Amino acid sequence: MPNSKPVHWIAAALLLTFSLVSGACAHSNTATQNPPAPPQVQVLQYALTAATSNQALGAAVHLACRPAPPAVATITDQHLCSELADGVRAAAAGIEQIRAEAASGDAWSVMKPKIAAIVSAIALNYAVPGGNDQLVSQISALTATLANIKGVQ
Amino acid sequence: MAAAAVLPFISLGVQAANLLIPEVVALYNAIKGLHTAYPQMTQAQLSQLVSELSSQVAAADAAAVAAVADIPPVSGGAVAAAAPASNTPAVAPAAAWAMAMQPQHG
Repeated sequence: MPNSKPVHWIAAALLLTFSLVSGACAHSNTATQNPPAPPQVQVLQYALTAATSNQALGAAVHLACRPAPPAVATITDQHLCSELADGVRAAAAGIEQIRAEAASGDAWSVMKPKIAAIVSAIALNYAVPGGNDQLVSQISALTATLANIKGVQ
Repeated sequence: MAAAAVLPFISLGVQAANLLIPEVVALYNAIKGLHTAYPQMTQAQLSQLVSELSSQVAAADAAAVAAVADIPPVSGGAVAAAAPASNTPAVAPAAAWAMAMQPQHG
C-alpha cells in the first residue's frame, strides 16, 4: 500500500488542525468575558448618564415653562413649573451627593447603602399635563438611570 | 483510488480552515480586550478615570441647575436641597482611590 502514507500524513495534519481549533475555542470562551468595571466606576458612569438626563430634563422644563418667544408655554401653571424646576435642582443635588460618595475612597460595602439611600430620596413624581411628551420622556429616562445606580452590585 | 480516499479529508480541511479563521480573530480580539479591561489598568489610570468621570458629572449637574435658573423655586426649603451636600472635592485624591481599588472581600 504505497499510496496510504500521504493519506496518513493528511489525516494526522487534520487531527492536529482540529485540536488547535478546539483549543482556540476553549481559550476564546474564557478570555472574551472581560470582568466588569469596579462598582465605584460603574456608579460614576451611571451618575454621568443621570446628570446628562437631568440636564436634558432641565432644558425640557425650561422649554415647557419659559420658551423663547414666539413659542408658547405648554405648562402655564407656575407652581408646577417651580415644582419641576425644584425637581431638577434636587436631582442635581442628589447626583452630586452620589458623585461625592463614589469618589470618597470608602470601601464599596460602606458606600453602597449610602448611595442607595441617596437615590431613594430623589423623588420625581409629577402630574405633567398632556402635550409634554418630551418632558415625560426625560423624567422616565432619569428615573431609569437612577434605578441603575441603585442596582450596581 | 487514492484520490477518492483523500477527497473527504480535503473537504474536512476546508471546513477546519473556515472554523479556524474566526477563532483566530476572536482570540486576537479577546487578547486585545483583556489588555484594556479594568483589572489590567493601573491604580493611577483608574484614579484618572474616576477624576474625569467625576468632573463630567459635576459639569452636567451645574448645567442642569443653570437650565432652570430663571424658574423660581416653590416657597419653602426646596432650594436648600439643591445645595451641594458634601464638601468632597470634584476630583478625589489619587491616594484615596488607590486604597479603594484594593481587592475587597465580602
